Amino acid sequence: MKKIVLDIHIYLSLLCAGYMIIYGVSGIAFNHDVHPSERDGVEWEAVVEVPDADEDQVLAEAVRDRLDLVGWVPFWRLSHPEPDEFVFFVDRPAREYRVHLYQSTGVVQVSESDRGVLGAVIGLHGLQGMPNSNWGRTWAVYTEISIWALVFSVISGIWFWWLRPAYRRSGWWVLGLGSGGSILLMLYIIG
Amino acid sequence: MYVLVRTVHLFSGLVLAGGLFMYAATGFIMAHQDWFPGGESEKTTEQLTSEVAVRMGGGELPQEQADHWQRQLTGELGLHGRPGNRWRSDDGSWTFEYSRPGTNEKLRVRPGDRSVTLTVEAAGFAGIMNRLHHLRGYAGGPRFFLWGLFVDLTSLAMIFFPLTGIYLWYTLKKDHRLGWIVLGSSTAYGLGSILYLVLGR
Repeated sequence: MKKIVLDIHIYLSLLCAGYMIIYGVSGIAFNHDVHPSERDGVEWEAVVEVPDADEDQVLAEAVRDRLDLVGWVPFWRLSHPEPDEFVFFVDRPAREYRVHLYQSTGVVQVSESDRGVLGAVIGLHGLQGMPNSNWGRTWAVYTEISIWALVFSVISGIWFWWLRPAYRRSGWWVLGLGSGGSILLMLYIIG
Repeated sequence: MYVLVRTVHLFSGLVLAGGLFMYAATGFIMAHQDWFPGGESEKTTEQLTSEVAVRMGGGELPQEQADHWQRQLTGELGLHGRPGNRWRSDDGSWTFEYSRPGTNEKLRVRPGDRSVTLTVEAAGFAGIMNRLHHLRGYAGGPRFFLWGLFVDLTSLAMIFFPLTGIYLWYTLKKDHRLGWIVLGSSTAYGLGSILYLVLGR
């Protein structure tokens, strides 16, 4: 029994090793309010058939789809600098697109901003899919598997400790002070 | 070396098991918010009395003075949240914000007036778990400093465990073929995802 559980513990952990490292790095970045630096990327132009839409959000998402861009359109960043012009942003990990649409002609100017590797790592934290991206769905599945793998690894790790009588007394102290203390801290902060 | 790494892996795991379990559980709840109750907030308002408010002077407050009053009000009224934004309205009243996982408190004070208004916006289970997962930083007093430290340690553990785990797997197992396949696939997928985001259109 122990050998089977240990094998699952090892191979599940190897499966989600990359996920854990990405989460560890992004967790430290969040805790210290580290933001990836943005640098200007390429600018390009296209012409699209302007879709009929009653709402700006719907219009922005339709243009995004016609440009084949991946990412979300934040509703609080929609604007009309001139009656004929519409500006919106498409946001995704590691990149942002500023889209300027001339509604009468269908000309679209796109300016990209890159956030680099750190932007990608931070963006992967908690990502549950992304509009127009099949890859995003695979990451959501990987996240789900990794969460369960992490829970299994923690519980099985505690069981492995319990199977070693020599470590039991010291382990209780460590488990009580560390994990017990952190759970009490959570309750104290919530309360 | 193997025994040392295994002992460190085991004991650091026991220290941080609570944190790792909390992040996994709250992450799962966030990923499936619809499955859990209490995602919405409820707002309540009540009138309280404050001696600190009577002593407060009106007009613009320098930063340090505003910090001082915010702390005094926290202690007097038993508010548990992390002190947040504060601002002065045109009618001379001050608003102080406090937040803790699942609960936002907004205290409206008119300097010189004993009566203060406390508006509490409290979420249920799913909301508390969501905000607990997002709580970060060291500011806001000793409790929150400890929490910031806890977040850093748990994040370091997320980096540290896979590395020591890979060493333990490599040392413990004689046949590495399955391990290389699993580790190679997950590493390629993780790095590939980063490259896709950085280099993809």
